[in-house]
Amino acid sequence: MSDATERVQALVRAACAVADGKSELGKRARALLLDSTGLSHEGIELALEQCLETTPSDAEIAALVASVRPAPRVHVILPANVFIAAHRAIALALAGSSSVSVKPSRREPHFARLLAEAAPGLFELTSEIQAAPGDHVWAYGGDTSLEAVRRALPRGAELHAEGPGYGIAVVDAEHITTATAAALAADIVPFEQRGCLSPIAALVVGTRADAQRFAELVAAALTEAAKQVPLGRFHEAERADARRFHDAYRYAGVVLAAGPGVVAVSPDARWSAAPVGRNLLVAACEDPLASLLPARARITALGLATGPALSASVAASLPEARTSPLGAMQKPPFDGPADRRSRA
Amino acid sequence: MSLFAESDALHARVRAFARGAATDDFEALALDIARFQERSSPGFARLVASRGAELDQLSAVPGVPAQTFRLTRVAVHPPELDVARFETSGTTGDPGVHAFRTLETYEALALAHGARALLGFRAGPRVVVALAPAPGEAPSSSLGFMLGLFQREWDGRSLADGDFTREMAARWLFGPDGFDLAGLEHAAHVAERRGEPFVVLATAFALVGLLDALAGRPLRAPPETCVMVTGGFKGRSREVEKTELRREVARAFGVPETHVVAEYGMTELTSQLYEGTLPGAALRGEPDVLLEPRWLRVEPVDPVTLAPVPSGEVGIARIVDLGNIDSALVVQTEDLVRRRGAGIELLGRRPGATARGCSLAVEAWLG
Repeated sequence: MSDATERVQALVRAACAVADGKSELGKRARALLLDSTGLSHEGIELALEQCLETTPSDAEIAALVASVRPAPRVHVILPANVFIAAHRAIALALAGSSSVSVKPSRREPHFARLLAEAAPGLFELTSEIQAAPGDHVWAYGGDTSLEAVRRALPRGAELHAEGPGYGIAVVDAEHITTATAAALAADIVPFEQRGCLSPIAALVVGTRADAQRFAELVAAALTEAAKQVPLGRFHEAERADARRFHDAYRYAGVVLAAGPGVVAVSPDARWSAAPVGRNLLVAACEDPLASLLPARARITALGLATGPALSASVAASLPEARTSPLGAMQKPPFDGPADRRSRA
Repeated sequence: MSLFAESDALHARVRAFARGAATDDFEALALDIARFQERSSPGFARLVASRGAELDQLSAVPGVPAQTFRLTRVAVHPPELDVARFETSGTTGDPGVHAFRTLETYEALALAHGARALLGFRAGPRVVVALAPAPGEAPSSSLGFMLGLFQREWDGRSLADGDFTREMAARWLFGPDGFDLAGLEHAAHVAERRGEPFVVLATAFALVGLLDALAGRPLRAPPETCVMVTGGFKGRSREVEKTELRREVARAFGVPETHVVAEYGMTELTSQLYEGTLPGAALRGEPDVLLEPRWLRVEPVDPVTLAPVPSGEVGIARIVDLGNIDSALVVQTEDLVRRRGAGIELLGRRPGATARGCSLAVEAWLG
């Protein structure tokens, strides 16, 4: 077993310790994350139990280690939107170096600290990144900010820029079922649609009536899901975005109540991002590739409920997006970056 | 009364109101338009129904988000009756479209308030040019249409010996091929020779192009020169802070900063707002304060609840434009504004929620 593999496995053990709701560490984690993430108690439990990668296979870890190049030192600027993303981000860094420096998010600093506490000495926490030539830096942020990070790095340091992205669901008319809708709802609920794997729109390959039928099923599934996992908290900009989405689609199309959120049906094949929260836009289309390809640079994940031919065609046309069945969008294999888009 | 007869009657009432020739009161006229739109537009009717409110007071009329113009047709009439379709100029996604069944009201309102803001100094003819691309026969830009209207109505003469129409190109001095500095200097010279005021209608990014082309050199322009500035930069030029742009433009033209007048308009509206700083103009106000015409009202509202914010506080602009008879009486924008004096101060766009997959950590790291 390589040193890199051992380091990643040590981190996975730390993640297991934090996820353990019976341990003192696990209890403390839940209290801290409730404050920093805005998720409900049940939302945190869902993330820790179902989305945090605590049981990766040896093959997944081997693939994760193989996905990065060794570096003398690796620095990580962690994301805040999806707290468990710190786990994979640090794992990638540990796969590349025994010297890893992690700057937690200001908004959500706790998860990285908890991992560090559970694995003393595995990596160091810092409030300031000081990269040197030859170092690798994994940074998560908006395009402008990442460009600024790139400019600020010394010559010879390598940036792995993890920019914004989102997920899209594709469903054909034959797969419009209660089970499919429930699976999509299961992808929507974790992290309140803030993650780069979260499905912000569903393309229904069929008629507008098909889209509306699927939207109604998803709305019902989200209503049901909210009974198990109540909605979290949102800041003003998020609530304002949700209000605008509701009003714009109320005028333009159909808006269905979906528990604490809404499912909107687009008036035509065009789609846009639903705001964070339990919200989704459903659009009918004849040719999903025509709808997807213009946005390929932003699509991180595809959840598919389609026949094999269409699934293969979509996957081949957007090779950098992770494809999965609906219900598994938020649980990508622990085999490398969650976001596999090129980061040139 | 048929839909079109009702619309025509409302257009006539709004034009009369704008002229000050009617006894209509703003709120009564606005409510009549809102009820007309509720009857004629299923989308607006759905929005009204979702609020569960009666259209018995202006505050109950829901604003149509400006974004809606990108999602669907916002019009009471069918597309075959369009006489103009103005497109939004956003750099991403599908453009929004504001369709017009008639431009008579648009022209009347634009000219009325534009004249109050931009026809300063003294009465009489003036030379008018635009630092913008020529809009063509069927303009898809409301701004291009308006600038052409101002050129035609406030000048309408040749810059040389030909007729106005054939020489239109000489008045559109900024386009895809670059900036026509010689054309601008020629027009300024014509105004000077005629002893007339000179009106330059420009986008902010075109003015940056002008400043770059001049490279610090002053332009020879008549002392009675007015420069109208509108719009932002949208990535089409380097960005210049508005106070600095005003100062630099005034210096380039050799005029006081009060001669540089900001305009605020959007494709989704029929009407415009202006600063009231130009000497001799009817519209009077402080710099940076945009003044509404009497047929338009801006109210800052809370971005989440859409309730009016306390006086002097910042909110997003809810704009009631009586000119939007056949589209959306109330447009809910994402522009941050606050009431100041007799008008509003524009403070940029409401920031949206953090992009997915992003982290504020990066911004924090950058300090």
